[in-house]
Amino acid sequence: MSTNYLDKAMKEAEKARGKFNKAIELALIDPPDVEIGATPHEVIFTENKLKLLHYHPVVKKTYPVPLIMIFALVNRPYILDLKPGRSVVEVLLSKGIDVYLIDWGSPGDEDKNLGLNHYVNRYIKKVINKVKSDSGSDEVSVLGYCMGGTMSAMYAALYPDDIKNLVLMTAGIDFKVDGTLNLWGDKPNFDVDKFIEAYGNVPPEFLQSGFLFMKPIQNLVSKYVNFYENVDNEAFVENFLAMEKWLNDNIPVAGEVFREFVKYLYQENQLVEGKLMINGKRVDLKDITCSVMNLIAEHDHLVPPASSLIFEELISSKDKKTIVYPSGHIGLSVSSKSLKGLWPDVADWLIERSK
Amino acid sequence: MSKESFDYTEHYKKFYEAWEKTMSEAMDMWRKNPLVKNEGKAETDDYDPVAQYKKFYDTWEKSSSEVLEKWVNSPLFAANIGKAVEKSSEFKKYFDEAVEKTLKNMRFPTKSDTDRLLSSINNLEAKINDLVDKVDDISKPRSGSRSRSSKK
Repeated sequence: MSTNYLDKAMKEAEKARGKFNKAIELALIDPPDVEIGATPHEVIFTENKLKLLHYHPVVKKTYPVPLIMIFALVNRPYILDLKPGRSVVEVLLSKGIDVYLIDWGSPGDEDKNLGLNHYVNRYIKKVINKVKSDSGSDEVSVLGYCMGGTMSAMYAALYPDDIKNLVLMTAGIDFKVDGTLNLWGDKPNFDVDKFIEAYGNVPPEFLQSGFLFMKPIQNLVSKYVNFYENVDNEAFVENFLAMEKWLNDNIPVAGEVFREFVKYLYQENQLVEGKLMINGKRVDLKDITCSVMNLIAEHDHLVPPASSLIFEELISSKDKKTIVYPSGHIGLSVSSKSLKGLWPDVADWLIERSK
Repeated sequence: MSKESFDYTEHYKKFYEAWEKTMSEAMDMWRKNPLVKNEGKAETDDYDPVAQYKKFYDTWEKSSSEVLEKWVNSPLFAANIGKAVEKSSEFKKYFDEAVEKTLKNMRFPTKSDTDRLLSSINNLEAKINDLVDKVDDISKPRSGSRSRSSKK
C-alpha cells in the first residue's frame, strides 16, 4: 500500500480538521462582533417603531435635493450601510448627496392592522415632509429597495409633485411573471387571509425559511462550504459574518400590509392593472412624471427582472433610465462590484438632477 | 406557472440524471483511489484526493441545486406548502382563541387587551407628532423655506 498516498491523505485530513474547528469557532461558538450600520447619523424623527435617520455629510457642501432611502418591510435596512467599505450610503455621501433613511423598526403585535394606507399615506408622507423641513429643500429624491421600491412607486403615483427623482431598486411591479415567490403566493396556493387571521403579523421565521428554501443547496450547504474554504481569508470572513448578521436579523411584517401585498399585488396584480386603491384613491402609475431610474438585478431570484422591467412602460416620465446589473437581489447593494461599478453612476445621475 | 405547464416526467428524468451523474462521479473517484487501484504499485504522486473530492462535490452541488430548485418551483410543491401553512394557521387560531377565552373568563388581561392599549398609545403619539408639526408651521417665519448654508 502506498505510504505516500496515506501520508498525503493524513496531512490533508489534519489541515481540514484545523480549518473546520476554526470555521465552527468563527461561525457558531464565538463569532467576533461585527460592526454594522456604522456610518455616523442622527435620528431626526420617530413615530411608533419608525426612525428617520439622517447621515452626517462627509463633504463640506451637499447638493440641495436630499435623498430618502426606503427599505423593504422585511429584514433591516442596514444592508444599505452594512460596514465601512460595503455601504451604498457611504458611496452616496462621498459624492455629496444628503442622505436620509427610513428604519421601519420591528412591528409589534399591536401593529398588525397597519396596512398600505398607513405605510404610504402616513409614514412615507410624514417622512418626506420631515426631510423637506429638516433639509430646507422643497424637493426630495426617493430610493426604494424591494418592497420599499414598490411602495415608493405607489407614493410617487399618488403624490406626483412630491418627488423630484425616483430610484427603484429591485422593485416588484408586475407579479404575474414567472418567479418562485409569485408561484408560492398565488391564490390557489396561499390563503393569506387565513394566515394573517391566525398569526397577526408575519413571523420572521416564516419569511426566513421561505427565503432559505428558494435556493436550498446554496443557502444551506454551499454557503458554509464556501466559508470553510475561505476561513483563512480575513476580509472574506469579515464580510461573511456581517452578511450573516443581517440575514439572521429578521423582523416580523405587519399583518395587514403583508395581506394587501400578497392579495392585491401577488394574487391580483392590481398595480399593473391600474386597479389598486389606497384609502379610496386609485394608484395609477401613469401619474408618475418625475425623473426615474430603475435598477434591476439580473440574477434576482426574489424579484425576477421581468417583474420590474415593465415599470418604464407604465409611467409618464420623460426622463427615465433602466439598468439591468449583473448581480443578485442583495448583491446589488453589497457586492464590491456594484459599489464600485454601479453606485457612483447612480450618484452622478442623482447629482445631475439635484442641483 | 400552471399545473399543466409543469412537466413532472421531465422533472423526474432530470432528477434521475442528476443522481446518476453524481454517483458515477463518486464511483470514478473511488476507482482512481490508489488504495483500491493497485495497492503498493500505484503511482500516487499525481493523485490529489482533495481535488478529486472537490470535483465530486461540485458535481453534486450543481446537479442537486438544479433539481431542488426546479422542485420548489413546481406547482405541486407550492400547493403542498400552502396546505401545510393553511392547516397550521387553523390550528394556531383555534389554540389562541381557546387561551384567550380561558383568560377572559378568569378576568385576566389578554394579549388583545395589551395590543389595543399599545395601539392607542401609538395613535396618541401620531396625534402629538401632528400637533408638533402644526406648532412648527405656525412658528416658522413666513418668507418661504429656510435654506442651509452648506448646500452646493
